Amino acid sequence: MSQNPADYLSLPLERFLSDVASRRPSPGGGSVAAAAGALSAALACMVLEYTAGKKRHAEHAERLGALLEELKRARGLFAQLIREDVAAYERYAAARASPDPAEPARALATAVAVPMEIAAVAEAVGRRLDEVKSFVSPALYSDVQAAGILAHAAAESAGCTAGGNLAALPDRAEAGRLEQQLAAILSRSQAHRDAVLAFRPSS
Amino acid sequence: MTSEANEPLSPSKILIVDDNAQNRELLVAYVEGIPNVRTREAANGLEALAVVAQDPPDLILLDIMMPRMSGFEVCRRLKSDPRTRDIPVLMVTALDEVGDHERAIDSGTDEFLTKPVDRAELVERVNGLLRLRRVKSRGEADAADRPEAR
Repeated sequence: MSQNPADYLSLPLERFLSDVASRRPSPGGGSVAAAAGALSAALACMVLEYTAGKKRHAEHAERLGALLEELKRARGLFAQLIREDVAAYERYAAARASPDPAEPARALATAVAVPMEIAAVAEAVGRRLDEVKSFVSPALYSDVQAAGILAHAAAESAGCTAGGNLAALPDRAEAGRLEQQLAAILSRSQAHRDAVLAFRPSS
Repeated sequence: MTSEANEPLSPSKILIVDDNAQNRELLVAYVEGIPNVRTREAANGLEALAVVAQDPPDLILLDIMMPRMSGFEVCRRLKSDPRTRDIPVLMVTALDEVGDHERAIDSGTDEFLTKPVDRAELVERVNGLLRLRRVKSRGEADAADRPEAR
């Protein structure tokens, strides 16, 4: 069992930044990707908080409210995924010394699955930004764009972490299937970001 | 495969199976601290199989020593049924004999934890299994969406 990862949500941001910058392997790229995703989701929540209750969107109020709840959930998930990424790395690093012969393979599978989940949640946030873009006032649209950029950055950087770990999977057929899955997630994520950036809101 | 299984923001469903109500309560308290998780409980193996048939969970926390049907038997049945074999099972037990660990592996369990359960370790294992489940479900959904080869 690895040492419990720090609960960065209850610590000052400076602690997370210092730990990332330190000469230690974790938190690393996966955790940073999740943190970027959390910022994206938080910014998207702010935009929805201003947008969902507007009278002119009354007929879409239910859907906008649901989107806000989903983005809050995404924010919580990213926060959890920061911890999971640290834990997955530490588990993988410790697995070789485990008396359980199945542990190294399980630890590697988790080290692949966690960044893939970060990419998937980031794509889900991007999809919601893409959906909500036409409801947002011009005054808030730069926040939608920033959130869209961050969501895709989270997906792409988590994809890099996942890709590095996939390279170590001994089952190359399974690795190939997961690479395809990841490529599909990243392709959709990029399309959402591009759509958000290309959109021009009207007042 | 439902679209919900492919949606990363949909809550994960965890079924907690233990004949001891206090143990269930403790495990529920532990896993409900994880964001985006919903729990359901079953007090014995037969009830667990009925719940799984009605509403398949994303993960099962399974006690071994239960009356009427042991956790080993529940796990064996789940893993021998194509409809339920991919649901990850994390066995949680007071037993700590090498033979029990082997029996748990033989029954098809995905992972094994010994009581008293360390909260951080349980959360780490649950999260790991849920992530693997998501990746697998997504892969199945992608495969189902692909047009058949001609």
